[in-house]
Amino acid sequence: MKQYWKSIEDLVPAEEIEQEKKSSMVLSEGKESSGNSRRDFLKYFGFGIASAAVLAGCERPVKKAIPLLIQPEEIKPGTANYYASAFYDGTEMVPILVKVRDGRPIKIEGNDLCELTGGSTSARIQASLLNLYDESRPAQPMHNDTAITWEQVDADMLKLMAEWDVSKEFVILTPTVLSPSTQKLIADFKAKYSFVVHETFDAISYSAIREAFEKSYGEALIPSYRFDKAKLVIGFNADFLGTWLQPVAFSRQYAMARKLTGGQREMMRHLQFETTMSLTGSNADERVPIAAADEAHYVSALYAALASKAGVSVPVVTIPDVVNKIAEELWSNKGASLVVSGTNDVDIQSLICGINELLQNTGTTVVVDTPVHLFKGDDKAYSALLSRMEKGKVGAAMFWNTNPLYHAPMGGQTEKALASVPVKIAVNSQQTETAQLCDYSLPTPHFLESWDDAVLIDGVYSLTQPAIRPIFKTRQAQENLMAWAGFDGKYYDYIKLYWKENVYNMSLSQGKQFETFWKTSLRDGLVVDENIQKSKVAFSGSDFGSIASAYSAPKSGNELELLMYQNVPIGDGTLANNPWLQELPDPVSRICWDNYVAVSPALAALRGWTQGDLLSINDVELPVVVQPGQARNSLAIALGYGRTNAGRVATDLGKDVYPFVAMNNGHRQYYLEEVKAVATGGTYELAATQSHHSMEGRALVRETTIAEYLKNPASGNEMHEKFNEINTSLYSEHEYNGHHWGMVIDLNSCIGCNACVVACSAENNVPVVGRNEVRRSHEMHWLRLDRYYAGDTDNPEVVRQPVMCQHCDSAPCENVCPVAATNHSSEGINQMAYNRCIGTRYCNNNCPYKVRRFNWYDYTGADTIPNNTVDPAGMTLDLKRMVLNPDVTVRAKGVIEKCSMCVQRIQDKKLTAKRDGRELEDGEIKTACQQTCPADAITFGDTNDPNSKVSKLMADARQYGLLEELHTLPSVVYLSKVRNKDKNKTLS
Amino acid sequence: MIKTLSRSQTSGKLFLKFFLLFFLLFQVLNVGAKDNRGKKGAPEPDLKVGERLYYGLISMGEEANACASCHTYYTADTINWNPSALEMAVVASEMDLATFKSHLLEPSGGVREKVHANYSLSDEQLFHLHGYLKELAVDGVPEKALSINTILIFLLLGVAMAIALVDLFFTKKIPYKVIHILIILFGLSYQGKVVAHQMIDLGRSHEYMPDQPIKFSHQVHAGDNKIDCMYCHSNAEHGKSAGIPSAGLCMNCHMVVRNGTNSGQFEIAKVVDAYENNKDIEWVRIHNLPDHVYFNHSQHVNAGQLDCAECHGKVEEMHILKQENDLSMGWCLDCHKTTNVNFLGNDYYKVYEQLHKDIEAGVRDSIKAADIGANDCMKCHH
Repeated sequence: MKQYWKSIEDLVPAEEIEQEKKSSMVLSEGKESSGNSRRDFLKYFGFGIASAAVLAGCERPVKKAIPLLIQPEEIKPGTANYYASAFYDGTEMVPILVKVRDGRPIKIEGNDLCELTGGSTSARIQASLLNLYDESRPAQPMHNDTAITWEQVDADMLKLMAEWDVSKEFVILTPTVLSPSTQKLIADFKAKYSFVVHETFDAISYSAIREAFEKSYGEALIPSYRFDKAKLVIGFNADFLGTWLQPVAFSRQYAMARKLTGGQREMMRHLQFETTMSLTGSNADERVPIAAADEAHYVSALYAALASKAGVSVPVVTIPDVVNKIAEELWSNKGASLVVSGTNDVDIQSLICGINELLQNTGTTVVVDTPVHLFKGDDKAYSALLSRMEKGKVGAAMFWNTNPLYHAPMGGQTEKALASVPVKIAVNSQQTETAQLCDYSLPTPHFLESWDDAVLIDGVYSLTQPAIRPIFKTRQAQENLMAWAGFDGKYYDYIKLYWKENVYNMSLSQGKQFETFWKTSLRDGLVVDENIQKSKVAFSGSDFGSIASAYSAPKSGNELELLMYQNVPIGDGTLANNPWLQELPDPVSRICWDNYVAVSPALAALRGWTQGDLLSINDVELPVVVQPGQARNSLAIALGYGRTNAGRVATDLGKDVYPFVAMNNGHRQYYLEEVKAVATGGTYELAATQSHHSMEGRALVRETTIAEYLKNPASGNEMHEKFNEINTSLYSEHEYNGHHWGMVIDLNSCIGCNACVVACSAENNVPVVGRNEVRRSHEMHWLRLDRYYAGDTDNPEVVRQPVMCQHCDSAPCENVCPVAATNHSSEGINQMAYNRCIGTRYCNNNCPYKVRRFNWYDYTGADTIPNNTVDPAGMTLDLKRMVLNPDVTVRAKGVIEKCSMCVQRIQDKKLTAKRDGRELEDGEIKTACQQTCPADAITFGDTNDPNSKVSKLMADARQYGLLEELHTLPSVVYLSKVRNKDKNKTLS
Repeated sequence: MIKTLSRSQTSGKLFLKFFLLFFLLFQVLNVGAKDNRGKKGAPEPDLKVGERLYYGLISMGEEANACASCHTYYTADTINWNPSALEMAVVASEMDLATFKSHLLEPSGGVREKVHANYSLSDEQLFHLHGYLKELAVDGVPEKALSINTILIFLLLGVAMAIALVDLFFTKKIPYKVIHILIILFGLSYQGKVVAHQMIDLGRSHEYMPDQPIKFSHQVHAGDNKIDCMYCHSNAEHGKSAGIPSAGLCMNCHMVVRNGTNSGQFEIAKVVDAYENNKDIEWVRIHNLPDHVYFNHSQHVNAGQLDCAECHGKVEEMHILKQENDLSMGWCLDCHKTTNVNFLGNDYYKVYEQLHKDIEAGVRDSIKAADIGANDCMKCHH
């Protein structure tokens, strides 16, 4: 069996001991140092009796019940309604459903009518709900720090427009606008005021892809990628499962192409060249660490190798062995392969276009005639705008959901440019750094309070509708424009009119009246026009040969380079002020609440750095994380941290590395070719969830290769049969008369994106504990994604395993509870009665999976004793508590909690079936983690029903239980992982 | 040991002294506050006289009832249809003295005309009464005096036991130790019982019967007029909460019905006012479960086909709604153990194949809710 290790510390036991010492020191230095004596105990005991007597004498508080004055038919107290809407934060656009209970949005789910996402979402989309209840949101219009009314705003602006000097520009800076109604509105606004200029600025730039396509295809576009149609995918620094372009859609396509369930015998092969270990790279079948500086060389070499096969002119490039092997494989998968790069460099992107064209992938995996409308920002236009500002040609600038000062400081140029704009208007739903420099702050509502529409791909229309009335005195940016241009009505009317005139055509309406069409569109959230005129884009080519020959040899030397990347939880930092996202550990490093410098093990050994040592990198001080699989001389730091004005949670978390982003060939480049890294001598304790779930090297994740699997489906899982034979129990088996709930997790599908973790937190009121508590291993997530490395530290293989309560039929926790607070239900669920729990933590101690969580403090305002509260992120505020799911108890201090298999969802669907007098259908109940999973890795159902999907999966030869040798008989089982590599085709 | 004892004694004495001091100070200040009133130039109503008039301590004429006999401060166990003291005070405070006088002495219509016929009040008395009502409208009804019987007995027993203890060891006045022991045993067991009951009832409100902002009578609606429960509480069939009807729903009938047989126009006018002027009606919630309990009406009413009365009692005989059962967990579980499930009538239960076979084989004759897991912890605690 392979030797798995969880982190570098596992390999260096002495280090671990040191860690242990550190954490125990923290414990003893903690605020509840045990100075309590017996007398204190007696004092508190006496006080307790006295307060009980006082409590007993008190009358119950009178609770009011205030019904609606006029109750709409569809609103039923205590019953959730789902409204179709769409998430778009300037990056990915995903159709969603918003669960609204008694007027409050409490959960976001994917819209299953969307073919692209299949009803799945990402961690960030799940968490975006909490930004709605962010107390740091700008709450009302302000002018130079004084509150003003919207009427005053309009009067000021009308005056400004009336007295405008037409030689100057009024700039509206937006992220890519997907909304056709907004585009028309801006056009109308420009028609009214000729001096208005609309510019597009994306937080993260993809402008090189557009330019490359313009060069090779004559049109600046980003194509639709189809990972599901590919048999071989090669990625170059493209984290397409985590952050690149459309991660939700790509994750889904990726997982579908790699599934081995339902009789599928073929799976897509994925190879990744990358600098730091990304989520995508950790899922690759094989992975090659390369310096960011050498990426262009590798891409050129691949182009050259393929060109020689295709018989076109071959540039002179030294071709590494590994590239030759890949070219061979790619050539045999012509038309069914895909090569992508995540680097914002025109040369690389042009070569990628050339490679995909040589491989005849255009039309199958690279669909250019249905381009996506994301990331239309052009860095050259942004530079031009900055210089126009500096020259004083811009009279006013409106920053509409854009934050250029943070996302593109350009070495101070942005700040200087902004200073020369006389009137600056911030139009945001969250606090931004740019807004601090603005004269006017005109807050917009959160997207869950707004109307909007979007076109992601031509012919796919979606609608955003409000799920709650605006909480603050906000107004949609579109309504600002309407007011200032003197247009009548609300933005809602504007969208509706746009749809009537443009979307409602004969093929879509199917003879319906417009009102009916509008209502059904609003109900579904999206409309797909199959007969849309596809754009005709033809390959015109480019001089790929000469581009490639410019990178004939590797560039990297002994200097350190720095890569700046987006991590999965925080992304570009727009949604950073979100406790759920900050507490979400990075899927690779398992660190939360901070960014850090990822360093390769070899470099760390050479320089004597260990985890937590502070490094000064071009004067930015950050702690080291030794990242296995990192390219030797590369450092990597996550973007999105170090916000200076983001609100209560995110301000001053981590360090900002956007200032390192510079223009290269007119595009923002997310790496520095040379940096200086010096250890400062200080150390910093990162909040990591990595070494305290160690499972001590037992066969937890079982894996095999595709070749072995095809010979024997049970390969890698041979011990399963053996354990089944030898295991026996003293305890009698439970009897399940009706349902027996079970879950199957396909480790071959799980990509470790962590969307399930946030979905679980949102559904089950899982508390946020903060950085200090995570340092003390007090994190509360009911579901975690264990990550193990195997093999060589310079380029290890990675496996992941989602672990939640396994709902054992012979549960070790149940036997040791002195008060029977945890016991077994008649449907196979390991139940936890919080109100019965007295907090002995025996169950926690006896659980072999370590999935039980103890409430060391009150994190959510569940009890009324103020000294119990630990609330680093404002989760006990009334506003943030509005996000709580009323069907799930909010746990108080001193009780154990854990995964309940979303029992509230089970009960809800069972009740629906009972009320309808019908049998429960398989697949009707979906747990929160299953619902959101883009990879469809989680299946839940009734194992007593032989025809259910979960029963069929349990019969798979890859099925095994975690630590099944203990004979705990878990109801959650895993399907082993299969790697698409065999001895005949391997890179090394 | 002795030292600590004496210290605790002195501190006890100190505490007593302070307590008395504060008590006296408070009394003095309070009296002062009262005296300060009415010392300004314009004639001020004598609130004491007003209050006495309201209570009928000063006669208001032959066979004239005191105001308080109809317009009571608190709702008693039986309903009092007349507007309460506070409601009268609010109405009166909005009137000038002349209007108040005409409303009081020359009322028109219904019961009021008959009852108010015998009043004879001087203008000065009216002035005081009006002043009192105005004051009442602002200050609100005084807190209901707490019943201190239980606490008093509890404390007395404590004292008795302490004396018995002291006598047992030191003074030894009573010759038979059995008496001491009996006193202590009785005291302890009584106190134990009180404490236990208090603790069991902590958070429960069996027979809770609060005043509502509108004197809505379930007896009139569900009993006399035979309106189905589901007409107003239709959500009980569909959702978790049974729902309190919206004012809009009330107006389905009260658009026409403006005159109640018992309450006259006063109570119905409140609903109309709320509906027409967009005012919320703040009902007092009677049935409260702790936050860690999940209860769903539709499970019981729709799927379980229980009658409302099984939990809520004979609502159609209640003028003032009261909580019929204590809603304790034991009460829930007992019912689950004895209530039959509609096992053959609902297709959902087909999933319980073995139990169906048992019924066919005659092993069982019925399936109780508890048999299919109704008493699992997580069915209600999730």
